[in-house]
Parts: sequence; structure tokens; C-alpha cells
Amino acid sequence: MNGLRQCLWVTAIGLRSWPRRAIPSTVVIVGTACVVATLVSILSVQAGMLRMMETTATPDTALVLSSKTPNVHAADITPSELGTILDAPGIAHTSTGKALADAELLYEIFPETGFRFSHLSIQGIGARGPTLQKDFTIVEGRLFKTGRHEFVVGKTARDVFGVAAGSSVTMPDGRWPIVGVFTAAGGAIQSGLVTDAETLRASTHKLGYGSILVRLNSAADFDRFKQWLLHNPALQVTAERQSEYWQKQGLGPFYAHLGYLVAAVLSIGAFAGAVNILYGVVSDRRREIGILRAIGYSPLPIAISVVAEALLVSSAGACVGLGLAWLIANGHRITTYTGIFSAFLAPHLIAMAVIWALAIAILGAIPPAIRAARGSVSSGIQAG
Amino acid sequence: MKFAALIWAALWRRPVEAVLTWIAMTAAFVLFGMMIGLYRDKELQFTAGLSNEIWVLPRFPSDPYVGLPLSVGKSLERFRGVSAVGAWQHFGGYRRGPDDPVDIDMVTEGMRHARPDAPVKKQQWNRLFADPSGILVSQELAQKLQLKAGDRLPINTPPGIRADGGTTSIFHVLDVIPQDPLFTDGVIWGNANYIENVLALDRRGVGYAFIVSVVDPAKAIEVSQAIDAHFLNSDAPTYSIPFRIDEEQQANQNINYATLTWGVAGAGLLMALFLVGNGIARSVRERLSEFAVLITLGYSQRLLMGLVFAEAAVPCLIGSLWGTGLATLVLQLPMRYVPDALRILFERQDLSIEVYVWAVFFALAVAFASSVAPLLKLRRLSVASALSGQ
Repeated sequence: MNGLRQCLWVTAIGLRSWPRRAIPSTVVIVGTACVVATLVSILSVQAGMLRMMETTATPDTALVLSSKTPNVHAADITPSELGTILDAPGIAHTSTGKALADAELLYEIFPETGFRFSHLSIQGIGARGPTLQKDFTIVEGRLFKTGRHEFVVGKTARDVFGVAAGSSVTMPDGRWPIVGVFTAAGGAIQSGLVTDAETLRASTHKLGYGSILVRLNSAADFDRFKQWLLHNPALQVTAERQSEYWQKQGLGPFYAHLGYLVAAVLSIGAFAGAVNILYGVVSDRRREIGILRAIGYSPLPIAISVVAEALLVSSAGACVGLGLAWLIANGHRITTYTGIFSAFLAPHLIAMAVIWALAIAILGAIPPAIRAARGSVSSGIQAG
Repeated sequence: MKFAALIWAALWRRPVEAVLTWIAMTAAFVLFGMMIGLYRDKELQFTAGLSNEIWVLPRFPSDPYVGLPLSVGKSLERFRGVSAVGAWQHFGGYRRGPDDPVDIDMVTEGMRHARPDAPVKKQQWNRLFADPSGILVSQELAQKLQLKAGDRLPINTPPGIRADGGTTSIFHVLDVIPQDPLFTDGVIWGNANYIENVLALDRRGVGYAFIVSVVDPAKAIEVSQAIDAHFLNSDAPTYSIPFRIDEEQQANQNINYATLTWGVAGAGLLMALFLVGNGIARSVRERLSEFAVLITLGYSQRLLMGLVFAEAAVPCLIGSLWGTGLATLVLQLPMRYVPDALRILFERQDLSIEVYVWAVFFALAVAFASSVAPLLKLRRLSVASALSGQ
């Protein structure tokens, strides 16, 4: 108890003289802020992508894909296979007994005006498509009608590509009007146009579907469902959990690796800076430390007070870094092949950044803390 | 020499802190080297002779790919501002089995003028267009496929591709050409006359895309738009995009690469700036009386200011060269040690001399910015007060 009290006292005394060291402390604050801001900004891209994918896919939804080309962009699932797939065990059904499954088709076109890397994606969905998408809601106009050459546009695609309700898009067989705008909880489908799958298939001369989206009775039914499909000789398909499929498509790993690489290299600099400055702190407090040692304080509380000051200053740096990341990255819109999403400062990123900053502080404070604890009483009192 | 000794003495006054500052500078410039190296690579990619060329592609994707008719090329040649048109088509197959695929880009004669920046000599083009089964292989692919001039390259295709019912097409390697900046993964150029003579009749004259060269690079966008407008209501609508814009779009597909690279490099430099600035400020503060003595001994204030700047510049310069050098070494890591996701950063094997020049420039800028406040303090130094210890 006495030791704890000594720690608190020495830390309080040290912090009282902190304003004298405020300017050198900015080095630690800036160093930590740079590490935190870059780390969190880069990882927020991955977090935004994951958030979009989690919105797109729920654990109980699965994608049936052609085993030849297991990709939603293909069109290798034939209409004759569709009926058999809907008989698979584990698929949930509506109250009227219809399978909660939807044959889908993806098609991409270049933007009509200007140049843009990302293609405008068109998703063909069936009658149960809107039910299977999370929170699919028409917010303007109406839903497309089956068999007619018309689209509804996702709110994100409308904002990015400027294709609003009332305008039209050139397709291989002429111009298709956009009759409505929809939202789908920010999922990937919101990044493009949506139309009737059969009409799209006919218009683009595709022979089959790219995928069948199914809702299972429960997530646990997936293995049984997949095995049934794989072992059915009439089918040449495979199945993946929708969430797993989308996670594989993203560029998340690049940003994760880049974020950690950059933060690791910057941390070396921040660590060196922290050690440098904290040696200065110990030097600045030499007389104070000598007196404390002379009146009976043990070395440990003195060392702890150095670490505590480092933690406090680094925390301030972490807050500055998080603020910068919030300003620079959070909400920044990013366009990829898999969809359009916003970078997102997820809570786990904030927690990780704070831990990272505190780790730099603790590691950087250890050598100066040892020097402080080892300082002799006589030289300390003579200093200053 | 006597100044060098003074600078060395100032730097080595606190050896541990000097080494730590140098480590921080090195870390900052490792990042700087990697990021600015990436930035320069992209910039060079955009500007290296690609500003007057345009891709002309089919507007709508098709499966199987039907591309554009060869006759579109004739129309493209008539556009105002177009200087040359080259058509190309992939001819794909495999060597030993389906897991050993090979693609040949079959091109028309117009390609030699449409791609003046291609690393193919006039004689090589001549030989290619004189020999229907001849091919030019880029170095990377020649190495990968173990091909050299004079070798044969048999390619197997499914039945129905060739008019004669055969499934094997045999090509002859005419020469190995340097890496093409446009096809960083390597390229094999073939003669389009070959496929126009051997493919099944319904496959001839279709399946092409075009490279169009314009007279005035400033009008590349205008020409692209004119081409697309012309073919909009035809059987073969096009999507035309200048090479440079296409490259920029790809580089900026997720995050603007300039923001990313300069942002990360800037974060490292900012950190270094504060660290060096703090160190030099402290050094000057603690040595005011020493400076006063030097002035009394006849050293000019300007010389002392130069010495202080040098004290800041030396660790910055050493750190910048060490850091950039270390970045060069890191980038030469064999790819097997690099995570797949990060390979884009490690694709180039070395950093250009230009990156070193940038590093030295920014090291001096950091040194200057960090020593401004101490220099001003030194300028206002009162010798009498400093000597009396006030």
C-alpha cells in the first residue's frame, strides 16, 4: 500500500512539473499521432470493406456457383439446373412453400460519360431477390417490372455515377430507363443497377445465371446443403457461404498488410523519439528525483512515474492521431470492383490504435525509467 | 576541417540521443523511399510515351468474347487527328496441358505506328509481318517459357478453332524483345495475318480491339469521345479511353495513390521534423555560453548559424541516405518472402536515383525547418549576457 502511495505521489509531483517539458513532449505526441493516424486511416479502408460485406451477407445465406467457374460474374448455371438446386435440403421456404432462393446474373458496362475505372455493375435478380437482400427498400420511384427493359439504381451508384431515376442507360439492345432508387442497408448491391434477371439474360445473350442466392433454415444447414449439391450427379455446382465469398473478393488484405508495415516502420521512429525525449525528462527531473530518493522514496515509484508520464503523453498523441484519421479517412468513399463503400473507423481499430500507442510509450519509457531509478542521490541533489 | 571537428563535437555531445535521432531519421526515410519510389513509378508509367495512344474496346462485354470487327480499324483511320491504328486479338491456348496456358497478341501492321513506344525495332516488326507464324517474345515470358530466338512454340486449341480442323498451331520465335512498359507481365506479339488465314471462317475478321495513335496528345480525350459517339448506334459500339487516363484510373482505383504515398511519407517526415527540431533547440539552448565564447574569439554569427544548420543537417542527410538505401534493399527481397497482398509495393527491384535526390532534398528541408527557431535565437544572442551566464 505504501509502495502504491509512493507511486501516486511521485507521479503527481512529476506531472506538476510537466508544463516545463510541454514543448519536448510534442515530439512524443506528434510521433505517436503519426503512427496512429496512418495505421488507423489505412486499416479503416479494410474495415469499411468488411462492413459493406457483412451488410451484404448474413450467416444463413449461401451462394450456389458453377463448379467450372465459381464466380458470380460467370453465367454457367443453366436454367435446367435451377429447379434441382431449389430442391436441396436446408433451404428456407416462404409461408406459401416457395424456396427462398433467387437466380442472379451480373453484367458490367462502361460509364457513358467521362472515364472511370470502376464499371457500372448491373445485377439481375428474380422475384424473391428483394426479400433476400437486407432492408431492400425503394426510396424513390418504383421497382422495375418483370420482362421490361428498366432498372432501379442503388443510392450509392446514383451518387457516384450520376445515374438518377428518370435517366436512362445504354444497353446492347437500346436505352433502358431508370424507374426508381433503392437502398439496401449500404450493401454491395447498392453500388449498381438492378433489373429483372430473365430480361437481362435475354438482352445480353447469356445462357445461364452467375449464382443462386439462397437463404438457409439456419447457418448450421450449410454443410448439408453444400454436400447435397456436390454429390448430385445432375449438377455441376458448388456452394459458398455468402459472407466468405465476398471476403475473398476484397482488397482487404492489401490494406491490412500495408497498414501494419507502415505503422511498424513509423513505430521505430516514434520509439526512438520517445526514448530520446524521456531521457531528457529524466535529466530535467534529476534534482527532483535526487531529493525524493534522499527523503526515502524507493527507485520503483520513480521509474513508474517516468512510465506514467510517457503513457499520458502517448495517450494525448493517440487522441490527436485518431482525430486526424477521423478527419482524413472516416467516410472517405472508395470504389472497387466489389462495390462502393466508405472507410470506417471501427471501434476495434480505435482500441488497437490506443494499445499500439501505449505499447510505444511503455517500450520507449523503459530505458529512461531504468536510468531514473539508478540515478545516485548525491549527483541528483547537486544537479540543477 | 576545424568546422568538421566542431560539428562532430556538437553531434556527439549526447551520443545516445544522436544515435536515436539517426535511427528515427532512418525509419522515416525507409518509408519515404518506399512510398516515393512507388509514386515515381506510377508517374513514369503515366508519362512514358503513353500520352498519345488510345484504347478502343467493345463497349459491352460478351461471353464468349466477340470483340470488334477488323473493319472498324478502317473507319478509325479516317478520324481527324488519328495518325495510326493497330488492331490486336488474343490467340490463346496451351502448351503441354490446360494448366500451361499461353496467350499471343496477334497484331496488324498498323501496330508498329500505333505503338511507337513499343520496344520493338523496325527490323523486328518487318520480320514479324513477313512471317505469318513468327512471334516476338518479351524477355520475361521468354525466360518463363524457356524460349529463345529460333525456337518453336506449339499451341494447342480446342477443336473448331482452326478452319482445317487441327488443334495445334506452331509458331516460330523470331526474336526476344525487351520488356514492354504497357505489358508489365510480358507479351508475345504475333502476326494477325496468321489467324485471318487459319481460323474457322466465322472467327475471321472479328474479336479485335484497337490501339489508336493521335497526332496531338492534348486532343486524345476529344478523339476518344468522337470515336465513341460515331460508333454508339452501330453494331459495334466502342469504349475509347486514352492510355494515360486508363493508367491513372487503375492506379487510383481504391485510394488516390498520390495521397497515399505522400501522406505516409509526410507522416514520417513530420515525426522526424519534430524530433530533430527538439534536439537542435535543446542543443543551442544548452550551449549559448559556448557560442558567446566563439563569437568573442572571432567567429562570425553567420558562421555559427551555419554550424548549427550543419548540426541539424548531418543526421538528416545520413538518415535519408541510410533509410533510402535500406528501402532499396527491402524492395529487393525475393518475392517468396513478401506477402501476396503487398507485392505491388515490391514489384520494382530498385529505387531510381531521382528518389535519392528527393530524399536528400527533403532531408535538407527538414534540417532547415527544424533549425529555424534555434537560428533565430542564436541571431538574437547577446554575447555579454551569455558570457555572464544569464
